[in-house]
Amino acid sequence: MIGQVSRDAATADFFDGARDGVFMLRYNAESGKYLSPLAVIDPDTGKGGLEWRGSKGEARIVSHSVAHGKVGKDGQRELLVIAIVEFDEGPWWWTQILDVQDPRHVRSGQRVRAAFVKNDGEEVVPVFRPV
Amino acid sequence: MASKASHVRGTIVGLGLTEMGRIYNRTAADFAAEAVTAAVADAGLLLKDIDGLLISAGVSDELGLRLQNDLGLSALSFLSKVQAFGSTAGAMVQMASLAVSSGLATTVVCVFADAPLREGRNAGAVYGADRAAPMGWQGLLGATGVTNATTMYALAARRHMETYGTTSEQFGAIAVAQREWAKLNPKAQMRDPLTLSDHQASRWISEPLRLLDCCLVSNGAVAVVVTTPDRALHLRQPPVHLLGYGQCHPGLYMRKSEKYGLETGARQSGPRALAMAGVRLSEIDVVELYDCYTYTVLVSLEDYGFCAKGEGGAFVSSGVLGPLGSLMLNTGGGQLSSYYMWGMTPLSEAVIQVRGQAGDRQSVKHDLALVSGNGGVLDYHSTLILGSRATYV
Repeated sequence: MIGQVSRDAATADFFDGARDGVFMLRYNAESGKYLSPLAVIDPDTGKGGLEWRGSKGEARIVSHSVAHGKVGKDGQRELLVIAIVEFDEGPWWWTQILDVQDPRHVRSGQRVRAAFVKNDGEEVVPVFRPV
Repeated sequence: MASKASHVRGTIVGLGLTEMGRIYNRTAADFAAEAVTAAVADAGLLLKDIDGLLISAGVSDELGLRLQNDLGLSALSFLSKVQAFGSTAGAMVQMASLAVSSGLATTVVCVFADAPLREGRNAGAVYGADRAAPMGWQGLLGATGVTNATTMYALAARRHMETYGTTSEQFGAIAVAQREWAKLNPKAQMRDPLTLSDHQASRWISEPLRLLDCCLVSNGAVAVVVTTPDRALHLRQPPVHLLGYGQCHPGLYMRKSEKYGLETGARQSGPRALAMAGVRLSEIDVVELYDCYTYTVLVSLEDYGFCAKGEGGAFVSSGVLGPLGSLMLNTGGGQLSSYYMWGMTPLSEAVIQVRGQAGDRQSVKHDLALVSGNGGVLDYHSTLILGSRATYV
């Protein structure tokens, strides 16, 4: 289950990317380093005014949890696979892994790819799926 | 050799606790006023003696500077609301100590109060998705299910387990030991027997964390009174001196770190506090660690140096914990089994132990206590070293 979200000034460029199917990261052009979308400055250099740059959307699972949610109308308890993923470009992101056949078989190091969920909300919501 | 008395800059002379737990139909301000009044009376002081007030509001954030008005205090020379999440209690005592040692104030009350529980509302929802805002980054995290504190700690715990081989049964050993302590604490909310099998049979909240790996959520308040060591000599209670303190805030929220889940701010704040106090870890009699989850206790024990990094699992399941063990750890039952007042849980138990007022759970040796505070998802950390004597030469 993916909820709805609205953009604000800090996330407008990020959600523009999501509409185009691109997971945007922050980028320090001086050092060539990618940073989390949440980054305001590069803490290693102090550089602000970071660019937005699209990632390839390829990542691996660093750690994961199977969150046991509410019991649905079908009597089944909702299981959410929540993970920290590491982009091939370097940054980490906290997200949900969709379309996992058996949550017990999710493994650290597993390859995942950015996916984009369109629901009734204002914005497309980036998540990940197993490769 | 310089006297270590020079390290004592503040002394805890009063402690006030309200009823805690599923106590409904009372506001945080109401709880706070009761705890402050109780702490001041405990010290043998009057409210008019208080010239400093530090306020910590908890998750519902319903407590503010208006507490001053509620208490009828009109001559404060030091007043602030403090927020460093689970490290707030430690930070407040440090700030109070700095205030009384500098002359900014003479007698400072530090109070935490929270009343997030409502009748018929699930305790987990208090720290879960219900808080998520629908906009911006928080909205995105909420939309993808990245909101629940237990899930965030589960990600950290999983990393520790996969890196060092730590097991759920080892987490369970902490829950069981703390319940044994809670059975000796009349203030504890959870006093029924608990076995490792019970822990293993408890339902998953966010794998690898089970229900019995998680702390309670409580309504209530705790306050302490801090003054100078010389004033403390003339007051009612045995003095609890602040001998050393330290903070460390790794601030790893949503950031890449190879240390994530493996190391906490205790690694820095612990040695800083011990060095200031001039005592060694092996001299500590009572250890009160922030225990929002069993895992938090385990990783904190490693970071303080009670065992080597990565050996926390073997350490906690070696029989060292509980009233019959050799390590006097979380002697009131902690946040897991007694009451959840953020950093005031370990602090209040440390004060009770150092005073020698813990009754059936009193540690025989109680001259020196170590108190930790941990907030965010291992983002914020504080350590206090408390002692019954002003000098340890």
